[in-house]
Amino acid sequence: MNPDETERPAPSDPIPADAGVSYLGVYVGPELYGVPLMRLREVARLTRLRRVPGVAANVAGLVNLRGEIVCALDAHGILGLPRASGTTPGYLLALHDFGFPVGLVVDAIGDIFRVDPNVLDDVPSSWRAERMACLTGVCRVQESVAGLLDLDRVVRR
Amino acid sequence: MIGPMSGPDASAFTRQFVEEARDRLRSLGDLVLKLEVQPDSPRLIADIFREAHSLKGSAGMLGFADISQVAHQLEDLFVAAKRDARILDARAIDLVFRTIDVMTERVAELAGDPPTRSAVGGLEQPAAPFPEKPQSGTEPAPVAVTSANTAPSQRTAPASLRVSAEKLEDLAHLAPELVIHRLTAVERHAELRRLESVLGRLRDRIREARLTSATRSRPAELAEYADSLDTIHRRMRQLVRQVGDDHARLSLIAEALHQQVTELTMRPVATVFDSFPRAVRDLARNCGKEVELTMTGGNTALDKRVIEQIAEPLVHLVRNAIDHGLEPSPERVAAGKPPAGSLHIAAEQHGNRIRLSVRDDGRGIDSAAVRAAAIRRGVVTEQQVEDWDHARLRSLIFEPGFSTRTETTDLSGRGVGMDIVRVVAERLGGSVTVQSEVGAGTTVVLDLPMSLALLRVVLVEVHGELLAVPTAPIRRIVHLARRVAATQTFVELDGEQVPLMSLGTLLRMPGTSIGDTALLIDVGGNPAAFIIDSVREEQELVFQELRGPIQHWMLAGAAILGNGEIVPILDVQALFDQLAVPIAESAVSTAASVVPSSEVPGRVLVVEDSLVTGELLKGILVGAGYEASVAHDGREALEMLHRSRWDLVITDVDMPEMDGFELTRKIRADTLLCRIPLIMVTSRDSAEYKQMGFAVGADAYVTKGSFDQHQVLDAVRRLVRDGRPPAWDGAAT
Repeated sequence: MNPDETERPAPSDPIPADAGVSYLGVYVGPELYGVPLMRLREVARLTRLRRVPGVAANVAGLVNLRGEIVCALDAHGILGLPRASGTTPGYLLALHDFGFPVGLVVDAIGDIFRVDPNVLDDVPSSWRAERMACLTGVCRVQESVAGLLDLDRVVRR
Repeated sequence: MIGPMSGPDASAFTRQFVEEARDRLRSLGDLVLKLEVQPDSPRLIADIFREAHSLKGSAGMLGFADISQVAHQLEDLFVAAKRDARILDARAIDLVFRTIDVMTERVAELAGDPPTRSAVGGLEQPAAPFPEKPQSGTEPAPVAVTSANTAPSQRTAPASLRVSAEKLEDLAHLAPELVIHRLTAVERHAELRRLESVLGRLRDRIREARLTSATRSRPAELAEYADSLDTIHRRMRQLVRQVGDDHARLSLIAEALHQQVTELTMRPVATVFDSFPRAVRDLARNCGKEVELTMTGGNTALDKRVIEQIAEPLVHLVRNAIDHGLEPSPERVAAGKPPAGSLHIAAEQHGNRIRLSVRDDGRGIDSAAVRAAAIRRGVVTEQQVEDWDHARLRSLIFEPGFSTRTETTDLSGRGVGMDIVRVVAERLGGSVTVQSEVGAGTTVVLDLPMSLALLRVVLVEVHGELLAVPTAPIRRIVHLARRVAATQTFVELDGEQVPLMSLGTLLRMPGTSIGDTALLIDVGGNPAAFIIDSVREEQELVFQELRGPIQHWMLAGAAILGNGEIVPILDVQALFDQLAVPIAESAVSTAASVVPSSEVPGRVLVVEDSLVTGELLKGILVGAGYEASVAHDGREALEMLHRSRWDLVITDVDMPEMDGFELTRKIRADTLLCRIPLIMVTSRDSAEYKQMGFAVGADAYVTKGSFDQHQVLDAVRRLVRDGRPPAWDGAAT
């Protein structure tokens, strides 16, 4: 995706171009999170996941993404949410730029929203520690609160 | 438009023409490039004239009037040039190139290829119909040869592969050899059957003789049998040797075949390099720059699949070097550089890796500008790059989102697509680096594997899951009685006692199925047998490394099977590294200490990151009648301790993440667990550590150096029976 196109404001847009950062809204369980669009390589429906025994608990398994073996991380585990059983397999967000192929497994995909990084709310201190450790901040998206994911910390946890 | 020639042979002739025309057009292109450098070489002009003339001739013969006519105009131009080379000015040469392009495209159309520009499609301007009038005395009439596709298009990867006749011949030589050996094998088989039946008859006669020998001995008869046996024995010995030879020769053929088939997929880098002289020339012209291109290492061989994927990144690098790296001549001269910029493309082999580099002597990359642009684009924040050096700042050009179309020319000196270069390099198991000095130039180096490593593996099932084991260290596959697989820790194979263990358990795979098959694997003369469910098949797989959080201590990598399924590949060396120490010492005592027990005297949790030490301790405890489980790290231990009731914990000290001291501290701080007795087992034999162990709450401390199972069992028995001593006073050992 060309960042130029995604970040250039529409004429009526109130946020100036360089103030806004685009996020893709994703659902992990019932919770809404934002993944910086800039770090997103692609979004694919998760069809087959190869589990690997004996690896870190946060690793969901391996996914064949058009011939490339991608390490799929389990957002539930990383964010400290119980692993839902019997739900749909969800989506793989393939990420850029970690020096190795890596992706994040989430339950559902929401809308793209834009956030001014200078006006983020702090993470409420009542939130789970696992969740707080993975966020750069929170913001309101329409009726709900979205946690903005710090992917470097998510992947390296 | 296609010519008047018809009949059954027309297409065959067309194919021939296509081949010929391609050669001639390629050679025309090369010659014109050279002519640009030596504009008044009569020999070059004569050569070009001759090529154009021949092309005109064959095209005319087959009735391709359009090609013939254009070639004719080219011919005319060079007739005029023979008289006065000055008419070949820059504009005329451009026209000649465009003419060659148009003809090339028309030929491709005849060949039924999808319309393409060239391997470096994006670099060129749309072709214009030939000719505008060159400033010469000749008056060529305009001809309507329109290009089918003027927009740059992606080259579609051809499904076929051109193979040198020589390589095919080598392969062809191997095929009859294989057939001959097959015939030999049939013969040997027949011979064996004959011998078998002779032996059978002989056995019957001897049986008969035995029945009757009680009444009278028949020495003559026995001597006869002995003679027959002797003959058979000699023949057998001969056969054994022959079959051995056959086997050796077949192995050689198979090896050579494998080697040659692998080589078939190797291609010289020149496949990509060849398109650069022309592309560089065109691009330099478009940018109004003078560029001197040199290339080395074109015959370095690379896997065809690697070559296919690096063509585009290489073009990016070349384009960027010319577009943004090299300065226009006046600027260069002012900086004290030669007017023509130098661009060097090189391929070098280093072991089984290939290094491709694109070097220019242009303005270099200004790391401060890169930094500013990266911050502005939100790729990094100011704080992040605070203490970065120049090299690290420059590497930001490979970040996605760093460069955009609007910013290519001004600051960074590099353009769109550097992130793609890196993505491709990494996908191929390689890397890309940039070196640059402001004012002196830039070098980008792609470091790539020579071939996409093919690994021969045996696919096996372990606890119901597929796993690939490299074939090389597997000595053989053995079948075991289920009882043996389920109970024994050693098994006699090839006259040797070898350790026997479940691969699934070692890999901590869920499930407990016990198979009846084992792989006898030998690393460095230490064989060990690993129980698996079953063997599927042997295969060659393209190996991919596992990096990042998926890194696994016992997996070397993974591969994708034909059906898209992912299969992990076992790291046999790592498996043996884990086993190395304890096997020899522990084996006998563990096997010997099986004590039947009707009542479980206690539940012991062993915390040990080394699988074998863990299993060994567990074995000793189970042997002494305890119920024992192994946790492989501190976290797992805490989980297990909370899940059920335990009578004793035995923990190792040196473990990753949470060591034994910390685990002990946590257990003692936990109101539910603080009363569980705990023994520390460690290789650290120092008073200081021992003290520390007791200080954090251990009830006994055993050093592995003096490891004695009776000592351990004594401590276990005492602590399980009596519980924790009231105060930790360094009671035991």
